[in-house]
Amino acid sequence: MRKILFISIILLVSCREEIDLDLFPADQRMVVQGSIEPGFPPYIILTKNQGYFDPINSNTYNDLFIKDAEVTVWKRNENGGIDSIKLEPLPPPLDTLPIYTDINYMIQFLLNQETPIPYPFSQAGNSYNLEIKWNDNIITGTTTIPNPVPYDSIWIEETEFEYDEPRKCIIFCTYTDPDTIGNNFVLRSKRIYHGIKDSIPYLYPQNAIANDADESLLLVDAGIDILINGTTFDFPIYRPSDNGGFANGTYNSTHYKKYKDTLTNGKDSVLVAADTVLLKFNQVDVTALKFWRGVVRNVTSGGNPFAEPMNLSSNINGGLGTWTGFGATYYKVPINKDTTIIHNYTVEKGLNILDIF
Amino acid sequence: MNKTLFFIAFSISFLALSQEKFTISGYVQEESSGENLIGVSIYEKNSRQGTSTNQYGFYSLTLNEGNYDIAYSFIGLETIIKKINLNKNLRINIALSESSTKIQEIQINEDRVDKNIESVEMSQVKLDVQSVKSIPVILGEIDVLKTAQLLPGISSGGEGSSGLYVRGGGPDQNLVLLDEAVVYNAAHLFGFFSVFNADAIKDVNIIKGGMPSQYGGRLSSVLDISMKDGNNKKYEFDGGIGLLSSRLTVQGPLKKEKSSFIISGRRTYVDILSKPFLNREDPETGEPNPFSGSGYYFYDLTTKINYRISDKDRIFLSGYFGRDVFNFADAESGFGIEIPWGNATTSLRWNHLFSDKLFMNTSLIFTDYRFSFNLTQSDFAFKIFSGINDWNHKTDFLFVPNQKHKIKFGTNFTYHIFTPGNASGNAGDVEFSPDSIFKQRTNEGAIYINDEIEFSETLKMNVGVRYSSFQHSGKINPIEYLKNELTQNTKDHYRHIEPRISARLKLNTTESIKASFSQNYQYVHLASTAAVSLPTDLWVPSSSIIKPKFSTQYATGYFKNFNDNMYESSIEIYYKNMDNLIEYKEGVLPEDNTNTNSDDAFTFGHGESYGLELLLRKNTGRFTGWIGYTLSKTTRFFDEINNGMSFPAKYDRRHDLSATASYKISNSWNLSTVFVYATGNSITLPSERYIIDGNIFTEYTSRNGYRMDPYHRLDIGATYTPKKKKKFTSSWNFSIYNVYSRKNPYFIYLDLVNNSDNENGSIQNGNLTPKAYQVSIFPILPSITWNFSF
Repeated sequence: MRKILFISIILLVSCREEIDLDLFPADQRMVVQGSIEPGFPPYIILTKNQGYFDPINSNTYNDLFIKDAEVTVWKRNENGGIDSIKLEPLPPPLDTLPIYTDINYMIQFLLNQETPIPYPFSQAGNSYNLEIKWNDNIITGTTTIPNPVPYDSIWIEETEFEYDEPRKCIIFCTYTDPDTIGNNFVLRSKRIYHGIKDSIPYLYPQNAIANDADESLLLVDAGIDILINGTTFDFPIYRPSDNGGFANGTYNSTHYKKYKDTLTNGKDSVLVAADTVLLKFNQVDVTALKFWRGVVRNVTSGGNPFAEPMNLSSNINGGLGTWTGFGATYYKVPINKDTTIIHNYTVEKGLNILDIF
Repeated sequence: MNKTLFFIAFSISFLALSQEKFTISGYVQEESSGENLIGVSIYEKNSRQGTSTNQYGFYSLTLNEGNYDIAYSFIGLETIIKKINLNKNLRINIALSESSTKIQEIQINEDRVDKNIESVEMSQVKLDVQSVKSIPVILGEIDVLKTAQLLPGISSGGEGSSGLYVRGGGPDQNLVLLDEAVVYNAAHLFGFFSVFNADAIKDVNIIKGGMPSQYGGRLSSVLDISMKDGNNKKYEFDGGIGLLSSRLTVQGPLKKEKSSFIISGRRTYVDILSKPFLNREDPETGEPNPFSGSGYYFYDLTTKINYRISDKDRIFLSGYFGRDVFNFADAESGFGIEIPWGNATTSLRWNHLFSDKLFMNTSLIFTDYRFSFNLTQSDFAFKIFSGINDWNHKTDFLFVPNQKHKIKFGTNFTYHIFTPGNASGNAGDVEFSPDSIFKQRTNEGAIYINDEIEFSETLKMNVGVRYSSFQHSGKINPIEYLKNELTQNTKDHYRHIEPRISARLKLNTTESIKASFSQNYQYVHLASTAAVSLPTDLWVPSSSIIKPKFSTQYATGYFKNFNDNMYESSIEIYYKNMDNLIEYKEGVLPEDNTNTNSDDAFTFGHGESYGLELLLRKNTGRFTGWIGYTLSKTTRFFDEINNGMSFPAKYDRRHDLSATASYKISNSWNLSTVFVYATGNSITLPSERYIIDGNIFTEYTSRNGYRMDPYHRLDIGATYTPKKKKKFTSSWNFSIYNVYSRKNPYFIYLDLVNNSDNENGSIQNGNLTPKAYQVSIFPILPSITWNFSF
């Protein structure tokens, strides 16, 4: 909304010029993006902050990742003792994925490509403590994994389209919010398949499939249930834009698209294959909600100059970022018109650790 | 309470002392329209004992038996001197005129009273609407609030803003009254224009400090605006056509000299003008326009009726209704937003004269401010709404037992209904309506007494006290009430005594020294997340968690007039201390508190402001204008903001200079100019950035730690009034805003600019460059307005 207010102001006569600013120097701080959910080992990404005007290039980007921290996650067990696990960076060549996790689990999964048994350490209803030792600093955080609350059902509706236009679909879901306040949610989605089968040889090799899947789960929305508490309702889940912003996009469904070829002025047809989408619907605790709600707001407000400058509300002591327990439910959704999905996607059905990022 | 009774008993005792004296009382009107005039000086010419008319044009002057020359003087109108033989109480109603129509017993005299020196009030300014109209303004939209910003001690929120920041106080610390009704959001279009249509305004009185005890409920200032009553002699049509809006005012008698009315309306037409550019589809390419259906407009309607029942009784009914409507529609995605907001006020007032010495006004006032944000996307609709309703009853007495005392006393009771941050929605057929709309009902009451005492010709004092009280009336939403443990800690009933004292020491006929001390409590608060006044800001009441704001202000000044009162000058210094100021906690999002009590979202702190204000003003002659300069510092201290370290307020300005000048070349041509210079606004900028989830976030470390470049601009204007044709007069107003097109900073923002061919630059690929930009909104802007009257 604020972005819109902002646009209206800018519609008035305005003028913009680049200026030089001398900003206060930034202290070096650790940025934590940590996550734990039932059935999987926790994983965290550790980076460093930068001064606002510090240079950006591939070297500085690689330098942002912290690889020399000692990371422990622990919880109290039923006997009053402590269960803890160590998280470590993945060894080469797996270290292109810059996470700290239980590397035994990860290696076993990557080597065997088997669906592993659910990871017993991470369970809904428990609180988990994160402790990081880095550069003589101790950075901590605490989170709780709430119980997952699944959708009642998910189905696909085709949007209106005109001849010659690609056919698009929107995912709809029915959700029953439990009759207690505090079911805060964070919704993420990932297009795991987005292919174009093309018959134009000079653009693509014959019958090639160009898969333009999302690299990781994108944030759709985060919210509280004050308004919807205890109700059952339907709502659309839009595709998040790749670079943030309002989630209001659609997904492709199978169809032939008349393709206007600018090189030959001729027309050809292109088969646009149906997308497949992975939805991750999470319950989160209040501190995590504040953080993710801030992320949504920050991404959607796009630099509104009137908003009181607001930092993300972190639950990390001694650093920035978040340590979030996700009460997650997954859905694998093929974008086919009139498809309805009742059951969620689980480890038994093929959900694996690579899906959760 | 006992103290108050004592005061009343004390003041009644003056009746006994005034037996050999007689009282002259009555109303003063403007001759051609019959409008009651506010602030007319009435004084005995030789002894210079005097008084002035109140808000209803009433005056009462008590003198010993004898022969007197009583002068009635008002800037812009000719002074009338009336010879009287005072041997009984006299009722004298006077009409002052612009022309020199002479009636036998009345003499015309150019004498002026030196109110600047004489009055005990300090830190007060009266704005004459006529002079407001001659000052060049942006896009020709005459605005009393923008003129007020040109006075020392009052600053604006920024370029084009009509927000008022008085002596380091926030925008919610101003008591804005329109015919005694509180106006909660006095701005249209995100603060660029005020809600007051200058055509319907008679008088604007601004109090920056030393608030007399009849006013209360706000810490910093009073902006008391009186609407015109309506011409009770003849029908009159006034209007104007400008670039941004048009106005029309109709006024006239309902029953000649007994009853009159005025209706004044204004509407902007940016939405209508821009419609052709927002077609549903592009006429050439046939591409749908994503923004068709978007637009913005505001309108307001002001109306008033008055009826003179008898010489002793008069009733007024006045109303204001204004709305801003902002629409945004993206046809392609079915995404739409509508944001309507606005104020409505109604005041019913009854003036009654109990005697020549005792005047009463009693008012019933209703105020409504509401804001709504409606979002639709396909079948999904969502609405956030908030608002405040006031039912207000007040009674004010003016009692003038003799020339040594002028006593004001009265009561004021307000029943507030707050509806802060509620929401509802629907998805298809399913309605989301929370169990109950969250409302907070509170009572605010006050009684006051104020005596303007003339100890001697040299020393005059204004001594007043206000006793105020605030409490929640029983239940709010009971579940939330319990949740916030308010009932277990029912400290939400507040009672406070607010002393108000000011004194004037007259050194000679052209010089005086004044000082004032005042303490104020404020029970309603504006919670804002934005750096400018936006309609999304929430009004919230005091509670056990939100303590009333409290301020103490000390001010003193030296006042001198020159050249037979042609020039007025003053130097004032002030110190103001404010407690229990309210801000959102860092990281709190206002929407987190939808439909609940938002008390826990706030943090409380302390503020301090001090400064020096200089004013040199010329009110008469062909050449009029003023120069005002303020040197000030305003800081805030909040334990939970800025790591507990003090920080400058958003509107902290070290230097603030304004000069206005108006020169009447002839009866046809009038030239005017404004120059403004102010230290740049303080702003918060991020110092660091980091990555979460592939997105870049910034971290702010120093609240208001940066300054934008200084603000300055020059405006010029000219008004051409052709000769009157029969009854029809018109005038052309030409103005140029920001003559030398200074690029004043409106805001600064930082951005990571994509310098690759790829649509989405990323920090991973190193193709982003951090840059800082300054945005200026108003370059040189000429405008023309045509005004008419018949």
